[in-house]
Amino acid sequence: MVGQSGAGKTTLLRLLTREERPTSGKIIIGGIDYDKLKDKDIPLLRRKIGVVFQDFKLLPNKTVFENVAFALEIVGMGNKEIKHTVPKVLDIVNLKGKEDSMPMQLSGGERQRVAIARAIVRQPRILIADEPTGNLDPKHAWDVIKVLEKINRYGTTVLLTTHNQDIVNKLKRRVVTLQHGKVVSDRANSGYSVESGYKK
Amino acid sequence: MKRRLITLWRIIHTGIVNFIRNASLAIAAVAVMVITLTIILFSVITNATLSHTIDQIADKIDVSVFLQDSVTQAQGEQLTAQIKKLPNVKSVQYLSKQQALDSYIRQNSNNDSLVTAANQAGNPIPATILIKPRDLNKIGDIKTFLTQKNIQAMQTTGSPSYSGDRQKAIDNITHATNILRQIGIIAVIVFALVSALIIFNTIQMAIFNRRDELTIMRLLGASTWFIRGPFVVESAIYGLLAAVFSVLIINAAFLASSNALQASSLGLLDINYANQYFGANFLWFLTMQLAIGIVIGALSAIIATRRYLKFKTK
Repeated sequence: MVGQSGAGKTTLLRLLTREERPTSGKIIIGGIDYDKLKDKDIPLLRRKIGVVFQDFKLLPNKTVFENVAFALEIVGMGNKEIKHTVPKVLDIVNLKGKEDSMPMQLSGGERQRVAIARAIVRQPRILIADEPTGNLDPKHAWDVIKVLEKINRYGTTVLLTTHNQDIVNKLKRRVVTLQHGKVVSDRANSGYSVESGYKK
Repeated sequence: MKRRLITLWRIIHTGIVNFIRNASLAIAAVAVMVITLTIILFSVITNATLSHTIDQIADKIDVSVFLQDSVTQAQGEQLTAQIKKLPNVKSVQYLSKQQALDSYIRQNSNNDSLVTAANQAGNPIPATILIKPRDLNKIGDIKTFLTQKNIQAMQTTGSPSYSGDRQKAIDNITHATNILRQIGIIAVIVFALVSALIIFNTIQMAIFNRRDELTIMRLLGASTWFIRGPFVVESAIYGLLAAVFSVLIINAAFLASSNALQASSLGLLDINYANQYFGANFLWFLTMQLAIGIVIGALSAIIATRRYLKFKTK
């Protein structure tokens, strides 16, 4: 999903995680009608959606392992299973050996990959990534994008927002363009340029 | 069920781990709580000691009935028995003429001329009934009884001796003790309230510092109690430690002061009594401090986390 700053990308994602409520219209994901969602159901909804943020949002007082494990503790998984699952996921995001590091000791790209590990460890059907490369230099940005591609290959829908045209053009995926809060184009295998909005 | 147990254990475990990892913040919060809890405990003990001193002063107040010399010992003892039956009478003592003289000499043993005068005059002291009232405020009942015509007739002029100046003194003391007691109770309540507010504020600040963590946990789909629980546990640990420290501090203060001022007292504050009172109620005080510390700590955490856990409704 692409669009200039202020086009409404983040707002749309926040609607999906129920951080915001729509003023009009309906949201239905995987059969869940957001209008019928009660407050106590919101945590359950969020457990089904993986989210990656531009500013990582890692828990600063927890190690890498604990940050990822936290997502599993929330759903009440046993310690044995957690100890078994977390290293596997850290392997997927190429962070083997960093289990005991604190977020402060990691580079931006590594932190973002911890966040991705945390988002996918519960095996969600959808992964939402809001400008995950926004704070990263190009090399680290590509590390993160490659991990997201890998996850997508494993069968998870990845919804990525970005205004990095390089990434969009190389990925060659479905591109939805937002402008002033409206969808202005929706094309498969598309590219994107900042000037024209989109290109074939 | 098993899941619930795992989650409960995790909440407690995370609370303890957070407490250790946030050591600097924990020390600050515990320090504030120690001071406030110590003030509460100190004011409770001070109040009790003051109250004890007041009781002792009040205990010295009695009503003296001076009997005519014509009244026989049997009559005097009969009257004493009658007085004893009055509801507001705590104790009565009958002193014969000789006993009254002995008591007078004892009380004035450092004033030779008075003693000599009393002896030379051939015992001028009348037989006396000493009455200790239960409640100084209701001394009027005793007065009514003693001023009945036939009973008044048995007494010398100027008896019973609560009348005149002394009645006024009794009234003053009664009034003063009542006010002092009320001030004491109000002081304890005010200190407790102020302490609760300070503790609440400290914990609120501690949680404010970590509000980002709360929002992150919320975004990851953690339930309210999974997020709040560790904070409640952590704050309860603050309260627990602070309670123990406050009791230890007061204990140490008594040890130090009883060494320094052997058996002395500071005006209205009888340190020996305070020490005894503290020792006798030690377990009770410890429980009280633990309850206050843990409850205020946990409640503060619940209230302080509320605003960060709300969902957007509109």
